[in-house]
Amino acid sequence: MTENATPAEALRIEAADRLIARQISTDWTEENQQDLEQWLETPANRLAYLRLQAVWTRAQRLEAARPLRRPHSAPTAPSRRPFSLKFAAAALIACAIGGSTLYLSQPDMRSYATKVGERQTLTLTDGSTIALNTNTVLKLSTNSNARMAVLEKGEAVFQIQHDSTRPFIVTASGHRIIDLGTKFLVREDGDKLKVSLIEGRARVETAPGSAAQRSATLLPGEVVLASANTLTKSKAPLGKLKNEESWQRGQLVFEAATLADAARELNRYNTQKLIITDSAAAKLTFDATIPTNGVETFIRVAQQVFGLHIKREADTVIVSR
Amino acid sequence: MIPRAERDAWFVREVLPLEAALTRYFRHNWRETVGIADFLQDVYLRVYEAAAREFPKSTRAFVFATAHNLLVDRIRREKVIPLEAVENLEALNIPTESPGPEAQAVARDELRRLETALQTLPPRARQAFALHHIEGLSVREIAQRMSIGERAVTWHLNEGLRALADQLYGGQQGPNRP
Repeated sequence: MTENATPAEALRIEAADRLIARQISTDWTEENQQDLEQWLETPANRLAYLRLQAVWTRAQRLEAARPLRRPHSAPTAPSRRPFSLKFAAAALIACAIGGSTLYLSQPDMRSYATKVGERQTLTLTDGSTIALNTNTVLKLSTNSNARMAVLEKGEAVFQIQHDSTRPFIVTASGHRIIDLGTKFLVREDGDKLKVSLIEGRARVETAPGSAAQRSATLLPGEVVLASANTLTKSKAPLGKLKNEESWQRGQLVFEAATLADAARELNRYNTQKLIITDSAAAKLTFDATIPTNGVETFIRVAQQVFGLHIKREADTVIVSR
Repeated sequence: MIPRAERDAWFVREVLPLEAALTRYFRHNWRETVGIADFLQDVYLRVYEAAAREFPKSTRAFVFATAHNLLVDRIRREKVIPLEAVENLEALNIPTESPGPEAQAVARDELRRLETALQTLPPRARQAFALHHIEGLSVREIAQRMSIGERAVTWHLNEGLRALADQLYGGQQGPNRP
């Protein structure tokens, strides 16, 4: 099958082999990964691989743009009509992007931001909603070809009206999430990105250009954690995901959470920061539902349930034994 | 020293979109069409390694200067083309605008381009590729659907991927620009 391939053509075949193995393998091992990375150390190999990987990634957009047409293989609920008139009246965001409509470029983007402790829900003309959590910056651009959002920091829940001719693409930490008829939660935390799928289906692609580029299609209850070069998928009970989006009702639901986790979570929403100085105290676990502004509730739990000592300072609350 | 991840991203973002123009440049100045892949590989390797020190101010100008030097070297070494061809080559206008119209054209019609490119693949490769990328079928499912073995599916995906790369980057039958 390699009819008189020149050296570079033979290399392309090998690169394609390795890339496809990486993409379609259902039992990719650490050993496979090391072997691939070793091979990619050679610049010629690496460049041939990057070139094909860029194409593979672009080809994956075919799915977002033209999802399953055959009804029996559609795994999600039938998509609702994207442009219903009743939503048009509720439009908060107009699609005012001049005449040029670029598909995957970065046209004018409008910026939306919440301060610490604030929440905001955006409703788009197509009926999609985006709920911004505390301390979040989101840029948004919609036009007749594409709908794009960039989560610059923080957390948001996207409830997207699917439109196969206008994919909704969220970029966060350089990675891309492509809606395939979906409700999903995206949280950016330092260099880590977490995507939780609540309803429907979406695809996550790690940052383009990274050699070990990966993508994953998410089904309800699936959670992806992505860093610059890794993508791990796990399954979470849907009940737990519901808890993760409870901030939309101004509540934080903790189940078997440590005090340290709860304090870190509350600190996202409040300017008064909780600091637990004692490592044993930090590991104590509890169940509770606490308002996002519930620093005082937390303090009461710490004092009354765990008998911890509280010291208040200007912007901080020190929790110790 | 520029980190490799940044060079990787730069290569995909700025160098690859020049492949169509580079391909035309090679065809125009080299009488054989065999060896385009090797020529591209040499150009890519040189610019990628040079970028380890610093990124060029204009990627386009740098890529074409590199391609030009490679061709001149090769023509001299192989002595296959009379000297006046070299002179012609040196008189060529190397396109210098940046970031290059290809990048924009790619962005503008990404989907249409992908679909058109897909149509040009060999039929089996096209089918395998579409079943995987559009319908999201696994290799096993594609094998059943096409009534072929899984290894054959993998080969068709391999063929399809390479042909698609040539279409999308090499502009084999891409939009003809004057």
